[in-house]
Amino acid sequence: MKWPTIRFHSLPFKLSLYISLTLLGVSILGLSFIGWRWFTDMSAALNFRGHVLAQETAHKLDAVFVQAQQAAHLLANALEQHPCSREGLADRLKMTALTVNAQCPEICAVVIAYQPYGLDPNEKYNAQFAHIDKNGTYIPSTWSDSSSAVNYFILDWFVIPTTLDRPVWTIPFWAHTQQQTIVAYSIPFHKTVNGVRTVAGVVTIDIPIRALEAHMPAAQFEKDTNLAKSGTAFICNQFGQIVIHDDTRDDTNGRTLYTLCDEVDTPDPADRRSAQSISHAPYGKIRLNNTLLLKTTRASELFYAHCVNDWTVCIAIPANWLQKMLTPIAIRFGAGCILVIIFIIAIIFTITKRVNQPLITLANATRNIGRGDFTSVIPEVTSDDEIGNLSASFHHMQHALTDYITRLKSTVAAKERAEGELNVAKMIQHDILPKILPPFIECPNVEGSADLIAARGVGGDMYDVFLVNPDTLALIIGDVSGKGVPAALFMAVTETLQRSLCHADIHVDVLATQLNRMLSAQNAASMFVTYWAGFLNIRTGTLTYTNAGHNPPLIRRATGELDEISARHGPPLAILENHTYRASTLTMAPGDVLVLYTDGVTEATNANETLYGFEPLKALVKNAPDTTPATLLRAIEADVARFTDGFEQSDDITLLLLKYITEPSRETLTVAATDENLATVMAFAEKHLSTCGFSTGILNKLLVSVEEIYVNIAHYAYAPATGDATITYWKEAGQARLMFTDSGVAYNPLARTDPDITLNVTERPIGGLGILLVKKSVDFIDYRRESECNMLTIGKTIDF
Amino acid sequence: MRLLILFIITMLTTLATINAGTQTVYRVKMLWQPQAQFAGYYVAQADKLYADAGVNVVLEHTMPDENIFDALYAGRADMIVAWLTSALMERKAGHAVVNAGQIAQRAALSIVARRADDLQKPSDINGKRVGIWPSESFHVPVDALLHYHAITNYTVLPIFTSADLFLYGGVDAISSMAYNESYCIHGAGFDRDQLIILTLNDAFPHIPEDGLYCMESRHATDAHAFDAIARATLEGWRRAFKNKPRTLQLVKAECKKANIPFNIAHHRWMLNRMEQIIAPNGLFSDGRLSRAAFDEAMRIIGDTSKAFHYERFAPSTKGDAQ
Repeated sequence: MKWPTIRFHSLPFKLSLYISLTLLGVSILGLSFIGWRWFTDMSAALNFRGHVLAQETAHKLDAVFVQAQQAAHLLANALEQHPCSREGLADRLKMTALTVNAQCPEICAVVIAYQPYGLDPNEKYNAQFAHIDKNGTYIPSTWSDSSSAVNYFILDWFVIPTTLDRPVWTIPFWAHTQQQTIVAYSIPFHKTVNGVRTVAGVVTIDIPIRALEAHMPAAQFEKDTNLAKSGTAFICNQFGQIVIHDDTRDDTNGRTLYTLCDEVDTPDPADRRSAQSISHAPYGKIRLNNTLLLKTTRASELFYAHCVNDWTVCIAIPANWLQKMLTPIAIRFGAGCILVIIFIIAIIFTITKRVNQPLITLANATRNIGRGDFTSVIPEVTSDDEIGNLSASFHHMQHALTDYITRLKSTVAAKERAEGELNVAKMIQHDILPKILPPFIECPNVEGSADLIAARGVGGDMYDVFLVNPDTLALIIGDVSGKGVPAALFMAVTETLQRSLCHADIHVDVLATQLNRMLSAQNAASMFVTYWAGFLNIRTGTLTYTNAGHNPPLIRRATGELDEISARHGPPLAILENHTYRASTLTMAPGDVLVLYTDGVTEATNANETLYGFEPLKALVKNAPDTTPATLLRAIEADVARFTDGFEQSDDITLLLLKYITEPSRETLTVAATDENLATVMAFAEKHLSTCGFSTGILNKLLVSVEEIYVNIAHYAYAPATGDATITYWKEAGQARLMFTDSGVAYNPLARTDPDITLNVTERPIGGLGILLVKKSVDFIDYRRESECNMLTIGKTIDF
Repeated sequence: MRLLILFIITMLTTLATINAGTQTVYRVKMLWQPQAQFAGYYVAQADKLYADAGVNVVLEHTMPDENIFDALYAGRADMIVAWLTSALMERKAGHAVVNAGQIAQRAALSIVARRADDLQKPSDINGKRVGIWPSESFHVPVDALLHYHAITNYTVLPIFTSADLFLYGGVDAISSMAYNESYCIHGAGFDRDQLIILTLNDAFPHIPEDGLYCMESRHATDAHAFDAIARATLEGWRRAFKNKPRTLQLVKAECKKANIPFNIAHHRWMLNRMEQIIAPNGLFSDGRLSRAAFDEAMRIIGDTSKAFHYERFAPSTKGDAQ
């Protein structure tokens, strides 16, 4: 048999668990309540039964005791009123014994005993004893000096009533004459001699203990087998001595209610106090914690009722008797409940699992669909219920998903194609923009840096830097309205038209006017472009510019001041076709930096929809510690990036920075042209070249070139004599340049024909490889012989 | 040859039997009916300590209405268990009783009074009824104890077999043994704070109770046998206290034999009290009555005649007076 696998997170399990816990909780509460009521009722019933049993027994015993007392009183009274002779005494005794025995068969003997010499002055012992045996036979006997007298003067039944001069119930004793244990009721009778009333003797009525045993509640116990087995009944006399007990053990004779408490090794003092409290009430119940009264348990409950002679009927049951009786029933009942709950759980589990099966199949099919398997078979559920509806919905979902995925695939393919084309367009657009600033060797007193960060794909920003003529450097920045491909195309058109319009003699205002006219004429899409163009005379620093609706550029003066070039000369291009743009002029002093930018900088947005703004830009430019264009440009970009904090860029960011400088500064090193100073020369060259941002490969090639040139000078310029060599470093026309000057023999290395490196080494003439290596490593090389000096200059273009 | 060996064996067996049959039987009579007060004797008998000591002992008990000294004088007993004060009283009366071995070292006698409005201190017993055992010999220590507490004016009522008269209220105070009547009073529900208890031991710490006594003339001839009985009895007590459950079973058997009810709690109580008076602090008597005990008892008896010389009353088996 294969047991079903139970999954603890499954619906059947959870449902079964919740229902079973609910049932269990309800059952526990219900059973507890019922059990509590049951226990309370049973406890009350048991108490009632205990009390009734004890009192019933006491009443039965009382009937015997009262008969005995009455008989004794009558006889004693008669003896006092009518003293008689020994013979008359016998008759009176016989009559009393037979009468009382007829009325109360438990009474078996009557005794009339006189004080010494009380009846006959010559006889010490004067007692008449009448015994009626089990068969009702009257057996009289006399205790006298002549007969074998019993010394009754020392026996309790005589001593105590005569001493106390009142009737007493004796402590049960072994009667040798009757050979049985009896209890006696002894009452003194009196005589009056010379006016003095003294005790003449006692009348005693004997009751065998055995006769009283018939009234013990043990017989009642038999009706309740469980109680009889575990309980016990006994009778105590007025001193607590147990006179009748159904416990037949032979080592408990003479025990009392109080010594019961001493029979254990560690008696509980509370038990003795409880036993002592019995005399305070006619009937009741006490608890004994630790006695040997019961065979099965030490703790017991004792019901008691007193008789007329202060005897006490006691019925003891185990303190936990009721719990013991009810526990198996409760266990059976509880087990039954658990079985029913288990049965219910099994039914619920089975039904739920059957209902849940289609859901599991649907879930599996849905999981397959989720993994992309749209052909996964969804089970058909034909039932007209919620699960049937769910199955139909899943079928509908499967079909809808299949259609959707098909459409999505084609859309994605189209989008990927468009994105690929857009990337190409982006590359083309980037190619339009100048990458090296400024690109002319002829502009040694200008340093520039530019960057365009497109918002997404292609953008509409533009910038351009070019030489209009040898003295004029054009600086242009613009921003086409809109974004994306249309803006990019319009930007390309603008750039192309601008280049085509530029010639050596054109003025900047004319350029703007003509460009506006041409763009307006072909502007079917009604686009426009903000445009700022400036022509800088690199000799004089004069900047002539036209602003067609563009953001005002900034000039950071060499003095630290900041100027905003706020002049505007018309609307953006391609809005008013016939508008004539004017120009303004300003002068850039050496050290001034012109900052051109698009609104992508000032309108950069962060997550809080806050704009970067114009003032932070102004503050940054004004306070920049390093006004080198490349450094300042990176500082502006970093500050904008910090402000946006990763928030998506919404517009292109374009920056064009140009610094107008005077003649480039030069650094010079003059050393004796020896091999020993090679390290000094190399350190000088590395120090300055490493500041130009060359890659490690280019830098190493340049250093090899420096070493080659210097070693040639050291070895050949003054040989065999010696002389100085001077190395000069400066920047010019966007290049790092080094000039090697010596006053040795005239030698133009560039005049030598380059060796044919295709020839075999053995076929190739010696020399020339060094200068060839130098030529290959640099972008600029020049030799001049001036003032009897050889002057060899090399240059390497610095990338921005 | 075989016949000869068989004959010799038969003869030897017969001689041994005859010898055993002629061995003197010593009837040792207990002071009262069977109870744990005499447990040491039962143990000694059960463990054959008497036989091992070379004496043939038969234990007997005394009925409530029987005077144990009468049994000794009448020759119904060779040795009896009796109190020192009782024996001295007998001697004073002219009976040549001697101590042949001292078992107990303390007394268990006391006077127990029920507290009442007019009975709150020992001297309040004056004018009250006091139940005392009827035997004259018991009166001596009881009277001495009462006088010790300045109780001189009281009515004596005889009590015979139990403390029942006290329980019924027939007497205000009762002479009581710590192991019998006191237990009955305790068993009737009385607590110590409801009672005034005057013990002989507190008043006369050297006076012991149970000892072994015999006639002086008999001691002169059978001193060693009596001494052996005393020593075997002491060993019996040692064993009795060592294994109390077994001792109680022997007591129970004796009670059953005499048809006397047996209550194990009572006899356990009694055995524990006997241990306190026989082996106080775990130390047993050396078997001989001490002079201190003799002297203190004599102060109660009040007789200094020759018959009461310590050496005569408690003769040593070796004859060396201590």
